[in-house]
Amino acid sequence: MTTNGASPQEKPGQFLGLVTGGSLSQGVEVRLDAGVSVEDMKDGTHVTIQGEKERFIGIVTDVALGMTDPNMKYAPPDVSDPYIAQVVKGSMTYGTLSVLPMLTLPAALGADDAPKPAKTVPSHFSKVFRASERDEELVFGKEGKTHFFIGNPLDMETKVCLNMEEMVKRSCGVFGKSGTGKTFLTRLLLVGILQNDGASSLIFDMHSEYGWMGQDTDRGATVKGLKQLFPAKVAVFSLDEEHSRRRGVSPDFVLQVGYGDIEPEDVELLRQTLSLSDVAASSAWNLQHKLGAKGWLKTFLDIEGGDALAKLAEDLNINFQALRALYNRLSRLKRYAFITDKPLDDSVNRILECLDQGKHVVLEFGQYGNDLTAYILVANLLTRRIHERYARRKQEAEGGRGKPPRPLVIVIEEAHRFLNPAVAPQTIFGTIAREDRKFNVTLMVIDQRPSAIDSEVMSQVGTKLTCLLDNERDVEAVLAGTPGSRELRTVLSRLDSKQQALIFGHAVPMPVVVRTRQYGASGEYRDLVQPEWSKGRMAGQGGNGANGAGESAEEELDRKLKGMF
Amino acid sequence: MTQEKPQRIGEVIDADIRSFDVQCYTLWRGPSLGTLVRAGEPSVVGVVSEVRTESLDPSRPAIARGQDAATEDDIYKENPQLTQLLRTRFHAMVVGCSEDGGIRVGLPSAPPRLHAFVFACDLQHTAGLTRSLDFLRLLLNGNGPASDEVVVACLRQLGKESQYGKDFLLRAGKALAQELAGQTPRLNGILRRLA
Repeated sequence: MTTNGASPQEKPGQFLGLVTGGSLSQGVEVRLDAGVSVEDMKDGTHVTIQGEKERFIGIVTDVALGMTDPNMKYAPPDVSDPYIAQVVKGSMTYGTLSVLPMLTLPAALGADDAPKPAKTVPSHFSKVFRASERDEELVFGKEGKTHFFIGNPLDMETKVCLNMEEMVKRSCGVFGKSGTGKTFLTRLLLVGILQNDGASSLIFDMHSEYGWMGQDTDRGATVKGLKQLFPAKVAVFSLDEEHSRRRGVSPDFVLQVGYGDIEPEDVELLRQTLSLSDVAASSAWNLQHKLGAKGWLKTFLDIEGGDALAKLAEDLNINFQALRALYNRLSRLKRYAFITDKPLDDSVNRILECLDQGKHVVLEFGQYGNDLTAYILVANLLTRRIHERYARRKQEAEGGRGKPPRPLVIVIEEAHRFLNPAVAPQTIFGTIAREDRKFNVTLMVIDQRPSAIDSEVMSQVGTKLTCLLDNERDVEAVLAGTPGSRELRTVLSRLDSKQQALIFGHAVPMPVVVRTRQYGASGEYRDLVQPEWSKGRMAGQGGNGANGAGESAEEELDRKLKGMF
Repeated sequence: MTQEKPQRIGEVIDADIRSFDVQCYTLWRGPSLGTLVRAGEPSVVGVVSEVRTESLDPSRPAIARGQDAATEDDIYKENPQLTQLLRTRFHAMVVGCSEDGGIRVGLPSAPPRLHAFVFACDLQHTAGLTRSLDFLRLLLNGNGPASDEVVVACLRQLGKESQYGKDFLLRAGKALAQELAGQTPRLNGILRRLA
């Protein structure tokens, strides 16, 4: 068997079997060849199918056992005899695969045609092969400036690459149960955005995992954060300077929030975490109206004594109990050292300056990382103001004044707190998720309970990277609206609990299960900071006589890298 | 190269399109069950499905004679006419016929002629049959009560021939599994005998 019917110009992967039936919506059924053990086939594996006219690539969504005679269940052959076992295998009993055809590949390698979405199914008895490394490369592209190497397909060493340009165009999501590697995956994605250099990122780093260093709880070691890898490109902001210093980190800026920056919308978002009733939360609007847009909160919290509060309630014509509840709960904000009456600096301006310079901003929450109220408040407040600026600048750019703002990816953890159906329609995150692609702002949402996120927001998430999820509702929420979602459900719930992720959406041409790229050893850091493809580019630039300044910058980077590792 | 002259074992004494009966030239020297034999020219190939020794005259069946004899041989020594009054014959189920210089699986266009000479098949004839193993279907559907025994005996004989390769019995087993889909107990019985 030389070609097994595949294109003569290439060597196909292992022959697996024949297509015996199926449909485009539910996938095709493949009967495994007698020589292929069903135990070698795994959910999520990619296969190619040589149809009469087209070559398809698909994903294995189920593996099953079949037998020619149902009565064999009741009178099984004596498989303890090796001869009988061999006879039975592949003739009376066989394995079947459910394969979802995703793309059609160009007929011959080297052809310029890119893979296209499959719009039909291969004909009966088409031959099925394991996807070769070349096939994978053809589909997922070659590592480079636009394509970031995120991991390897199962049982293969080929690199699966994400199209970073596509990824940052729309919001993306990283999902998975706690402890399945979401943080590592996110860190890799952020490195990808840094490498690609097409967008800036603003990371609300709840547990101080991304800035200077993070924890590898499995190995009991620390791993380098973005600032250590890309010192010139990353700015670390801290809400809690003392915490940062204790960790031996010197933040670039210490962020302060003024009372005047907090708006009733922020209070609405805190309704759940502060256990406020609807009436109490909406009283904030009345307060703002009465006490002034900038000073309402400070004035309100400075009120002392129940009588004064009662009078205010009467003035505002709102329920006293509701106002008192609001007062008591908002008084917690006084404990936050980062909220001051007169902040030293305009934090939003600082952040925007960094973003404009092409830098990536990590905001470490320090001790406030465990305080959801602080996290939600700050993230919402900053994002709202940054969004306002972006929207204005984008509109100005459209009017011919100034450049459009550099694309921005805002990274939020515990995303369902911002994007649950109760608050998503009102919050800035909901707005961004729904429509802010227009203003060059997208979200990267990280969450372990995707089912708690508003379905309208989920439907706008372009690329989804999901580690193991085993809650039925979460799985359903992540896969909603994805072609072949029913079939992919099995794949998703069978992922390993570590270092495996299912990736689908805009950044990849078809769903793929990857073993996530390693992160944590010095060689791995070096590959992240200076990947192979960039070395080639640098050498090429030198040979072409690039300007002296460019060369020296690259040399400086190289020298710094050597020093770093 | 001189080819060994094939050994003639008998003559066709009754024939139809699906089977033929052969009388052996030598008493007691019939081929064993499952042997592939060929009759006439062009050859009709069959598998021995029954062997019997009987009285030449159906009206004079054999009777017991050895009540006082010490051994079975003594009976024949004391009744020398017996060897002239008995005959050994066998029944063969047709599985193939010669065509274009080879053997193809299937029934011939005409049965072998009466008195056609019958020979044991040599490699040249069996190779054509064993390549596809389709002849097993004819044997399995032979309707004889012992057709499974014939299949087992035939495959065992062929399996001993090393030239068919180690995987011959495996191939045969898989072919049987296809033919007997839905008849698992029957298949299990055959496979246990072949194992």
